[in-house]
Amino acid sequence: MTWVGWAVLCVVAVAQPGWAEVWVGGELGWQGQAVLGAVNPLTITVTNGTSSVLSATLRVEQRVGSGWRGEGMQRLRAPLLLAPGGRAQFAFPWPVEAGSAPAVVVEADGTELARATLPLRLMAEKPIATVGSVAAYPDGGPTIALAPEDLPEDPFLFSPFSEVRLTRGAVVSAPVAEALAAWVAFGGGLVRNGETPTVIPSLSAMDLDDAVARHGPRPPPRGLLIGGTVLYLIALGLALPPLSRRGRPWGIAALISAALTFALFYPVFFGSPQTTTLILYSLSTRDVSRFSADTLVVVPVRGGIQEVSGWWVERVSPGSERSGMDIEWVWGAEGPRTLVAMNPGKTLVLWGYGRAWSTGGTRHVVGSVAVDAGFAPLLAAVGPVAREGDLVYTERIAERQGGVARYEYRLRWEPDG
Amino acid sequence: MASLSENLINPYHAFAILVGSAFAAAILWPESAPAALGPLMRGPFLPHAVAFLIGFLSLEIGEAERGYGVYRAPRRAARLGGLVGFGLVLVLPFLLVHRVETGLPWPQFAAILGFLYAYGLAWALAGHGAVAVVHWDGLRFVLEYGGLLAVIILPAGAGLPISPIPAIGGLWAGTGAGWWGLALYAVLDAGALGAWLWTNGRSSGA
Repeated sequence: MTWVGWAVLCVVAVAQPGWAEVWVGGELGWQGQAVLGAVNPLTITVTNGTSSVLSATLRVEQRVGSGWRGEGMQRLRAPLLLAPGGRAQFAFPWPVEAGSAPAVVVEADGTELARATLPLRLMAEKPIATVGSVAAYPDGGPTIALAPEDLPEDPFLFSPFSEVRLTRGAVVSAPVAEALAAWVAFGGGLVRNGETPTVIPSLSAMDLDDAVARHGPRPPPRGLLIGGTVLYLIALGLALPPLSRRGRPWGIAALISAALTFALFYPVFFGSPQTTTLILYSLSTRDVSRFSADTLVVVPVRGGIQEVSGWWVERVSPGSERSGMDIEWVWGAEGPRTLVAMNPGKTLVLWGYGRAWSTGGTRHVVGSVAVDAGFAPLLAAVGPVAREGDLVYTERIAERQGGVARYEYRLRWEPDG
Repeated sequence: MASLSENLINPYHAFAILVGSAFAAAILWPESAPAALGPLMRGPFLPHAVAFLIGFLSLEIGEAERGYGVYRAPRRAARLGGLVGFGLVLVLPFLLVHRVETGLPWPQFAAILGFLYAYGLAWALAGHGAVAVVHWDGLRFVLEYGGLLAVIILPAGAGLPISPIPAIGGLWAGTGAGWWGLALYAVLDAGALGAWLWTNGRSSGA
């Protein structure tokens, strides 16, 4: 290239507002290796090289799935505020599926300031995380060596590991220990040389199916509607002919008025069935003081977008696949929110870690008191580990907001002694 | 003059019976049906059935109105509109109850009603005009009902909103295709009525 060419390029570069001044990069998975089918850390680094405060939006997009079994978009939107010359690193829980490479964009007022495409390096087998100084790598599978300060405080981010091995002398902070305890207690994996809480199996897919059937919309009053339809049609056969005989249309007017009155007051007498059913199962245990294992079942009758508080990912049972529905995580005033696209008739099961439920509720002693049938999935999960005499606290909330019926079942298990 | 041609009594009753049957099928559809068939109960099955059937009823209305009584063009056009509306009113109780059972919001319900009316009026005008243009009954029958079926079925595959299937599906879901369908038939009706009344006014003025 001639010097004229270089000069033009430099002038263009300088003239572009924000070009090369904001930088974004990152990696997907621990040390850039993402485990397929697990929730991996999406680590993003943003550098503000400008002399002004960066107020922008961080956006991540990835297309997952395939054409033949359904494609879906995973999106993330987060507000970004960075001091001049500042640099920030964020880690988000990101479910990894085969698909396109995630694209990360920093934008302000609709203008793209920086963009990066993160490499998608997939591994099928979950690695073992060794924390602390490693004398010898363990046999049997891939290993990732981490320093104690690398460990996350979000139990989601342990999902790619099959096991976490704390070497002698590795000291983890209290929040990390809590996250590890939650990950282990709710069936995430094993921890060696650390505190090991009792492992509670996750809620079974069959129990969740039963729960969906139990919380469905109310059935229509079929007998009344079919009987009314037959009577209306017979009456119509009698009321229509006078219209062609110069008769006064009082008969048909009365019939239609009666039918319309019934139809208009129908929801007053029989209520309107919900268009979306949300069933939340929250499981807490005394072993884990900060987190609960939450499962949210979304049963849509109509399509649309459902927004729920917290960070949720789709639960995929072994041997099945993701539903291929779009999902988006956004930050609002009250923390992260998850937006899922709903397809009528397609039940979506999400999971996540919530805030532990540690006080209140109805007290039961295992083996002596029966609880509401709606708690069946939670009781079935606790059943294999609960002993007679253990305490179980339950709380049920049922509310209706417009077309959305929301049921919440919270259960806390406290082992005897 | 009676308000209704006796040739329309049976079509109206048949229309109501068939829509009532579709309503009964939707209401009786078991909740335990496979997800792929679920929309029969909770989806736009009933409005689709009404759209399919009102096309046939409207062609009958258009034909029956030709030569029934002596009315000037504006009055005749108003009668066509009124008779299509009367057909919709007959099945409105079914649509209202179905709206509640499916949780369809009022604006989308109103848009679907508007589409059904505009679509029905378009076929009533087509039926009315066809009698004047095609005098051989056999050919007219083939052209009218073949055209109706072609408009319903052929564009549906490509999702073109001229077919009531994607149009109502779009209005049901609140997507763009539905609004295009409603606008298309509204413009078609306005254009056809305007042309009819204008040519009629010119000929009667001359």
